[in-house]
Amino acid sequence: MVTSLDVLRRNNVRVMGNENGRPLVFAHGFGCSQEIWRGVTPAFLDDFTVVLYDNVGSGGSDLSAYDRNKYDSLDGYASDLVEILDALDLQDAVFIGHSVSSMIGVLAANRDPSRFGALVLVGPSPRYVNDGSYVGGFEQADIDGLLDALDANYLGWSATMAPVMVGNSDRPELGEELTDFFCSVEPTIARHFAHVTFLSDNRDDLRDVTVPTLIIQCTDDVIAPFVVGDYVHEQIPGSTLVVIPATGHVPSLSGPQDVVDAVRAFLR
Amino acid sequence: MTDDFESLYRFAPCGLLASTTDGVIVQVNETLLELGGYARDQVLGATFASLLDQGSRMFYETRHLPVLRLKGEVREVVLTLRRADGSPLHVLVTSTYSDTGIETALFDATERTAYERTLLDARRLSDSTYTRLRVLQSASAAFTASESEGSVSEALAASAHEALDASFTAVTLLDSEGELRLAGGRHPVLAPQGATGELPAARAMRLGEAVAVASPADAAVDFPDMVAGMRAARIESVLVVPLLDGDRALGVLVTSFLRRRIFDQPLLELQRALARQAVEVLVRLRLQRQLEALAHYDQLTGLRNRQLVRDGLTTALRDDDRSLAVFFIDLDGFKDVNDRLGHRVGDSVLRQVGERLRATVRSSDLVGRIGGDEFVVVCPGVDVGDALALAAVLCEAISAPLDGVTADLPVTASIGIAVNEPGAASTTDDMLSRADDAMYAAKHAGKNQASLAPAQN
Repeated sequence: MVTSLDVLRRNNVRVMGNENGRPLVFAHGFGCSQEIWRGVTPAFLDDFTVVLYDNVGSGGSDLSAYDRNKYDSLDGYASDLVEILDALDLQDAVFIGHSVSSMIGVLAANRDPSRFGALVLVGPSPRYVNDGSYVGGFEQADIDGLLDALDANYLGWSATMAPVMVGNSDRPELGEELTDFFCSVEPTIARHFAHVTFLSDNRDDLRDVTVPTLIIQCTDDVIAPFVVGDYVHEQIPGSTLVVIPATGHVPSLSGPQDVVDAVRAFLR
Repeated sequence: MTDDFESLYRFAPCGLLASTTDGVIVQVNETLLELGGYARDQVLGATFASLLDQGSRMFYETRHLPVLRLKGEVREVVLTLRRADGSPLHVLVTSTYSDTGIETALFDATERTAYERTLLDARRLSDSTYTRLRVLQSASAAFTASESEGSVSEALAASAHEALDASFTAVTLLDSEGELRLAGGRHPVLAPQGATGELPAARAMRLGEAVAVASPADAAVDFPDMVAGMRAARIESVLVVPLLDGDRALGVLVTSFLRRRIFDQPLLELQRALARQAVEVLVRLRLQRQLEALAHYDQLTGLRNRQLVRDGLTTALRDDDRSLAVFFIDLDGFKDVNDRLGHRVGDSVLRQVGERLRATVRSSDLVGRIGGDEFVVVCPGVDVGDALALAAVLCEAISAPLDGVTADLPVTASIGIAVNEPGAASTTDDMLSRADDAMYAAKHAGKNQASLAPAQN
């Protein structure tokens, strides 16, 4: 049995902000860690409980918890998210997921909608590889190219490893000093996570979403282009789509204020 | 000086570019244009990411740029540029990031990348070879330690589970009724309720080759009975590999994935190798079981042979607190049946008699055939009174008409009974020889009856 403390430690969960405020749960995508939210979260600390966590295998998560069978699909990550919400006993939570974590949020909310008040999907894509008339933006060969790039930079990944812990890892519920992991990821896990991220197909899950959903679409996002954002918007009943001026795939870094504004407007 | 600096910048031995924080290129040097074969106009105003090939671009967007923004610099990352003519150019990239923009230096890394690529291919090959070897070795160790079909099946399921990052793995084996039964591992959709069509396992058994279901859409075409179960368990792909002993399939190994999989040759080969190893052990275990049966059981009737009757009797006699009865049964009229109706009918009579004996006594009693038409029954806990009553029942059971035997050739039994009273400490030989003597007494007294051996002195 996994205890709440195990869950919080496993996913390097950090809780900040106004403990009486509505919970905002932030999740990072492939290639990075909870650090990507550092330009976004300060804006919410006064009014919201801010929860940050790392997917297992990324950032400051417990690498020993990486079970290749469990994390061979996004369902494994979705189970973790449900456990985190349970462990913190969050109600009416707003889940803000970037990239692959937006799909993880969709799976978790479909499985157990009780704790979810809303979903904010930042640069979501239910399937990256083109399939018939569906445009995901990539071909299998592109994914192979990404895996080549990962392997080619194997040493570079290792060099950004070995983060220095400055917080109290034994008491994650107390909150920690911001730790610079620089998105550390163990290379073999990164490889597997790349497979799972870019070769999953969760199109069928979109129409099952029942919680209010905001889709944040960036300008010039190659990873999740407009056509994919439109698709997600069409498939999720009653969802809202906003296009923000921030460019690239990680708006929380390229235009954090745009993200803050979009989330605030949606929750108002 | 300014000219020197400018020319140093323009013709530096590395490509240099400056871009906005959003990556829009505002300045490039001659070296970069030369490296990529680009025209200046083509590059200015474009994003750096757009110069990369798709794979590198994914890496750049999801990994390189976020780290650059967080850390302020990223050093010596290998990326692949798409040159103006479409050809790839591997470059080593170092970038710094500040509020005013991104500065990037690129070195041609063709040679280094080619060298690293060779290393990488070698490493991937050795990794996959090593993984394969490790999987097969640990499986082999687990199989060798297995002493039952169940533990071989569990070991096979566990090995495949680990080797393939599968979500569900199961082994099913054909049972004696020809049905596939779960023997190891677990699986949510092996036998869908109300299935009418052929299932992947049955097809793999029939064809003697692997059957892959790549997606629920494929299942809808080939195995419609599977679709609902796959959807419910969120299974995307299923692979079924038959466990082949020559041409004969003993069962199947089923692996399922919650994510669509491409079942390539190395993966299939690994599955087959695991299956082969497991089959070897299964066959050995079955052979062992057959040999044991051959050594201890009568091939014709399936009853214990003389040795196993003796062993059982010896064991039963150790329980000295209660009485024990031995029945020595010799058929009357069997020789005539054999001579007149042939050995085939004779064999059938022996089988029928064996079945009647088995059906008459308790399942805990021992029944054996120790010679041509001689049977022995050992009943622990049976005293003289019970033994006489049971012998009468046995006589009656055997004298009932037998299939294939005409009424003019009656078969009956002469039964000798020896009873060991509690504490009498008879030996196995004593009991058998007393029962044998009593059987002769019954024969002499007119057959189709039982005779009780005198109590032991």
